[in-house]
Amino acid sequence: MQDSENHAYQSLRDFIHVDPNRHKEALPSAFSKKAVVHLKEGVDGLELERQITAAVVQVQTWVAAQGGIVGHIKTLLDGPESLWVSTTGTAPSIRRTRRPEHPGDICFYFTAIAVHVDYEAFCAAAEEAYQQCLAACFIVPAEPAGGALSDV
Amino acid sequence: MNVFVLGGFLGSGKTTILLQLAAYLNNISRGGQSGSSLPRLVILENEIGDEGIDDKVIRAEGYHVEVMTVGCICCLMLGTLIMMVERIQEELHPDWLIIEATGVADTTTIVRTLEYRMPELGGVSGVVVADAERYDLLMDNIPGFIKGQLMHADAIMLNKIDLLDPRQRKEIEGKLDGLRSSASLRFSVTAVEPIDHHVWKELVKQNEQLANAGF
Repeated sequence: MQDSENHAYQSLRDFIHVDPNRHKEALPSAFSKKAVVHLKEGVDGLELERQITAAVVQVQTWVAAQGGIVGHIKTLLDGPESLWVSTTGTAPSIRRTRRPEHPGDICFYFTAIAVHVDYEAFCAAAEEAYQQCLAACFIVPAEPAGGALSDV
Repeated sequence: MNVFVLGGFLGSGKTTILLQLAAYLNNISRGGQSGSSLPRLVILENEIGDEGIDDKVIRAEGYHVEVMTVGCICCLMLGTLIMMVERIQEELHPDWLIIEATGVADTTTIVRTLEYRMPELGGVSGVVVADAERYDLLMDNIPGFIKGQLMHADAIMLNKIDLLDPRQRKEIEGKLDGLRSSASLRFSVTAVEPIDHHVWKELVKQNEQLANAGF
C-alpha cells in the first residue's frame, strides 16, 4: 500500500471507509521553530514569563480575529529551569520545572497550530510574535540550530 | 507487543493522559520484569512541525521515546510508521507501545493499518481523547473530522470535565454516547488529576480482548 492511499483504505476487520475529505476539513497550518539562546542580561524569570505569554496570546488573538480555531500554541524554554507556556485558545497555562542535571544549551521552542486560517498569513503572524519574543528576552547566536516553517 | 494508538484533536490533553497511561503500563510491566535493561514500554510520538515539544515532556518523565516529526502518520508517513514499529518490536521488544498521533490524525486508519500490516502484534486499540470544554466548538466547526475521530474509537476519554457544570457534562456525555460505537468504552476524566486505576484496567482488558479476537 502506498502511503498516500491510506485515506481510502478499508480494513478487513469491519470495512470502515475513511472519508478522504475528513482530513481536509481540519487541515492544519503549523508553525514550528527552535533557537539555541542565551538570556539577555537583566531578564529575570518573571519577565521571561511575561514576554513568552504575550507572544502566545498574540498568536491566539490573531487566530481568533481570523475566525480560526487554535489547535494549540506551545512554547518551551528548555534549560536547567524550564518554562512551559501553552494554550488551546483559552487562558494560557504556565508551568515551571527544575532540571539541574540539564546538560546542554538552553533552547527555546515555539510551535503553533491552527485550523481554518490562511497558512502563509498564520506563519507570518506566528513568526512576528516569535521574533518579538526572541528580541525581548534572548541573545541568539549567529547560527541558530534548526528552525523551519512547516505545513502538513 | 501490545499497542495503544492515542488520538484526539489538538489540545484535547493527549500527552497528559498518555503520561498517566504510561505510568500504569510501566507499573504492570514491572510486575513481570525479566531484569533486562530494555524498556518494557516505548512511546512513539508523532508531531506536526519540525520541532516537537511533547517528546521532551515525556522524556523528562524518564520514558523511552521515539519520534516522528514533520508529517502526520495517518496520511503522509504510514509506511515510515510501519518501519518504526517493526524496528521497535525487533530491537526493543517491549511489552507495550503507545503511539501518540498528531491532533489531526485519523486514529482508526493507524489502528487498522497496524492490524492489517502487522498481524503478529498483540492487541491494537485506538483511544481517542475528546475535549469536553471545546466539544461544541469543534463539532460546530469541523464536525466531520471530529465525528470521524470518535465514531470508530475503541475507547473515548472525555477530558476536562472539571471545566463543565454538571448539566453541561451530562449533555456532552449524552451527545458522545449517541455518536460512539456501542462496543466502545467511554470514560469521563480530568487528566490533570490522577485518573482512577479502573480506567486503565478496563483499557488493558479491552486491548487483551482485541488481541484474542484476532484480525
